[in-house]
Amino acid sequence: MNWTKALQQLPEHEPRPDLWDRIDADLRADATIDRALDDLPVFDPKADAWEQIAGQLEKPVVRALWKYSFRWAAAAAAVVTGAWLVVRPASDEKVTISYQTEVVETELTVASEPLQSAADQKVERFIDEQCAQQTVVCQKPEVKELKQHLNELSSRKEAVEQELLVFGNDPALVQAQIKIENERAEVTKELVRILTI
Amino acid sequence: MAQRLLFERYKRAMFSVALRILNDNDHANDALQDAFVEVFRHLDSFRFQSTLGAWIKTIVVRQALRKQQLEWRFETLDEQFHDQPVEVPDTITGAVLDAAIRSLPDGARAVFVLAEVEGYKHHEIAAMLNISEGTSKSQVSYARKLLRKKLSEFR
Repeated sequence: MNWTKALQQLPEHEPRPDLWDRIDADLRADATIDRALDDLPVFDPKADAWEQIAGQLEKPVVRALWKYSFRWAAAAAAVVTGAWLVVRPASDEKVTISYQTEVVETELTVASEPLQSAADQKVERFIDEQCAQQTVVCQKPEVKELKQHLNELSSRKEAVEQELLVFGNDPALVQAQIKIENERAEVTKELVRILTI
Repeated sequence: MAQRLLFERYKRAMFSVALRILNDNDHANDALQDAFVEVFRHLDSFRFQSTLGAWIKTIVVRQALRKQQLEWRFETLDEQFHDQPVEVPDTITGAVLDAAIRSLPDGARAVFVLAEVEGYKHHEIAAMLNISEGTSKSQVSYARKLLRKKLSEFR
């Protein structure tokens, strides 16, 4: 007997007799919970909450410089930058893409942010140009999916950058930013690979 | 004056979020205070990418999560649990559910509140709590199982 045949002949097994009753009970319980979720009570903070906040706002803000250098240093530890080189020889239509992802380990300066944005813009432009030329490839479900994923990651990146403005040194945010950057680099690499096959 | 109005408008909803996450009145009040100070100091950085309420809520949630002194602990489901079918009365009110939510273990409660009450996506919760999306999903499932059991005991 070969492997495929054996797999086709695997026996079926009966679940426990009361399984449906259990599933049904869980579904009804979840429906009850979902209904009650719309009816959760709201609570009042302490009566002097505003006075406390107003008092805090009157104090001068002392912003430590290290807070910001820490953020960039931490982000720099693993921010992945991409470099794309597009060579288009005039003699034929062959396109050569050199792709490189690099883990930056030295402390980034403030200028690194625009540099990264410029790299992002360059790649976005390249993808748009390729899609304009290769409409069939860009209609492929996997390309559409990757582009959608890339857009979603870009939105998430912007949201995290917004939050970093408020919580400059939050380690969870810095980690989230690194994770998103890594994922963006991977998705972009895959898109470029497909578009240049 | 405008700041006071903004605070008055959002204070109850935001305090309720912080209280459900932390399950501690004092910590929730502290989180609310710190969050609104941050809100007013950074109002100029709000870029209208979301509603103002959603932006404030994210700041409140982050402050609340910071108030948790220890690491969030994420319990896993006890195998015995599968052998206990439950019936939840359909007369459960929001107040009863609130009490049940507040009796959940810290990690499961925080994830459940963020996902099911506040509507955050699992990838957002994963980033906030520094956990995987899988852990976020399994904690919601765990919280629901615990809630079903707790609510089935309510008469």
